[in-house]
Amino acid sequence: MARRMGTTRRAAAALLVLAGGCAHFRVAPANVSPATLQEERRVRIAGWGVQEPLITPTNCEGQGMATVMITIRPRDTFIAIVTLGIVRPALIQWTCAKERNGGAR
Amino acid sequence: MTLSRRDLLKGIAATAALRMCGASWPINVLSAQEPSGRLWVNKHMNLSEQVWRHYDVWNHSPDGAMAAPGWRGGFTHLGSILNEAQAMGRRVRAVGARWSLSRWAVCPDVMINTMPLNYHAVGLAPDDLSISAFDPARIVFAQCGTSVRELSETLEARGLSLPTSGASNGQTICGAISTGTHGSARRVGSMQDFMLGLHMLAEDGKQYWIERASAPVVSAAFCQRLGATLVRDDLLFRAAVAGLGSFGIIHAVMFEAVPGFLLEVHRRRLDWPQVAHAAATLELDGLGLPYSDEPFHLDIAVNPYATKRGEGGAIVTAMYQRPLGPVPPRIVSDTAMVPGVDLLALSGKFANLAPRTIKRGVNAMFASMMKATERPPLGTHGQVFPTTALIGNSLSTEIGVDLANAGQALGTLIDVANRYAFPGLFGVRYVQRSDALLAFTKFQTTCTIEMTGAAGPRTENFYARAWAALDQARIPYTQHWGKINNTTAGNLRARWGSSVDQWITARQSLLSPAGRRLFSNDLLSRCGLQA
Repeated sequence: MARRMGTTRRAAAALLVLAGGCAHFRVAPANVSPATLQEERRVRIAGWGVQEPLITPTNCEGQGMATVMITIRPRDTFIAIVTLGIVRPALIQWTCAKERNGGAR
Repeated sequence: MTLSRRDLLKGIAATAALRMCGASWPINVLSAQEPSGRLWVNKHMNLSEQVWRHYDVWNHSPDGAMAAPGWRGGFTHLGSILNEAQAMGRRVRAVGARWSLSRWAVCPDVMINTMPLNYHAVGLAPDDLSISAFDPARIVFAQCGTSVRELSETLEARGLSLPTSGASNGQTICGAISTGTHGSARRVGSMQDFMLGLHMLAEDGKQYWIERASAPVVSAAFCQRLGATLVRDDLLFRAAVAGLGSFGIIHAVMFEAVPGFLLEVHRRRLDWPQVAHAAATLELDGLGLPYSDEPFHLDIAVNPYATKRGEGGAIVTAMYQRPLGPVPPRIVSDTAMVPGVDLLALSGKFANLAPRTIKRGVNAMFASMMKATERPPLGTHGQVFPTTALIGNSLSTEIGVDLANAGQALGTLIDVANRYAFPGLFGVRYVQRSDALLAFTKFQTTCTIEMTGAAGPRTENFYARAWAALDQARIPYTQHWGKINNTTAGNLRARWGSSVDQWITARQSLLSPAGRRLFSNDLLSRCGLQA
């Protein structure tokens, strides 16, 4: 009986992890408009942070970013749990900013 | 220290996961994508297209240098892309902020992102104007990618304002006018209605300045400096100003800003039976508004599942124009909780799986929509219609009906929603007739009824049923070009009448058959407008 309860709990926990929606974290400064489509890269931290990704966008033409969004999907969480945090994947998306007041006078 | 069997298993799992991830998540970030051959997705995430060539066009050169005037570099780049596409027999669409929910901006050949083209200047030299009917200090020349937000910011810093805009501010000026974006400033009209001139880049490197013959704006000297051929033609202007991206690429527009003003916003939650008469007639006495004069802006949000007395199923927003003055500072936090990116998509899926929960869900959401305010907010046009934080997979359709038919149309649509619920709400607004040939705000006072909901088959099916019910009730209506619609060659003339042929003739007068193909797409063909 106890064993069955344990299995049920594990199944419920796995279901919660896998069925949950993605977690999004957004940064979007006010008064900055996007100039480009959203670019994205799938990245991961490896070895508890021994190696981590560095994204250097080449599509922003010298402008800053208009938006940055980090997404952690259920399977990313699953991988992080299974690997005890050795591997922590995420999706990073961004748009580039327009030139500020492009030529306004 | 000895490893337990469990630790050993975890280690093996971790190693396996690391290897499994290696192929799809390289530690070194992939190099940047080539600026071509990519998947294009619109803002509301209901459209996507694998595009043969996708270009971001900037005003500066790759080394950061900018030719004078500031728009010249981007314009030259647009021309070279057009020439290349034409030489290769490809079709071209210019895209703004990807706000549209219909496929007007979509084509699998060449799509040009014009968002970086945001040069805009306020004020013309007097010798740039042909007549003195306009105030040169209020004339704005704006490149196609300039957003409504940018325009509001620039104008408001000079004590000026846009005459009207949509409910949010992310659209580019050319994307907005091309599909007939409107607000609910009843005496102003839609965004295309305050345009004065269009700088159009057409086939074979030709460029035109198109304006009304009945309201000429710029001088020959201005066109000469631009390098454009001056075309003064009322019909052509009325066709091209809401031209669905099919007359060429509108590189820039000119319009007259209005003196700045503030809007005093009043919002009341009422029962639908209290509001229905006003919604159908614009006789506002029963709404209990604070002033007897006509509001500058009036819109009504309707919960179609709470239409009885005591259910608070309508939120009426009335805005009154006030002289420009100091605006109370707003307390803004740099962190806020907003609706999640996946909320709409999940709601759409859930609604499809459990349709019986839709009404309860919408009722709960609608009940929490309006917060009580101690004093009416006051703000500039740009502050009152701000950037929306809501992003995600949503759908929207919008019909336009004559005010005389508004009551019947609303009743019909509410009835459809109660027979086949969709996870969404109605928004009712009122717009003055537009003189653009294919504007969907074609009635003297057009009542626009927007039905916005979470994306999914349930919402799509509801739209089909709503249109069918309106057809069955023989209520004449048009559809917003920038939203989900079922306009085809078969029903186009029934909706727009002789304006359709005028629009086609005007397009034929500007473009050769090859040019008309260059600036076309599948939706244009579906609507029978490609001729």
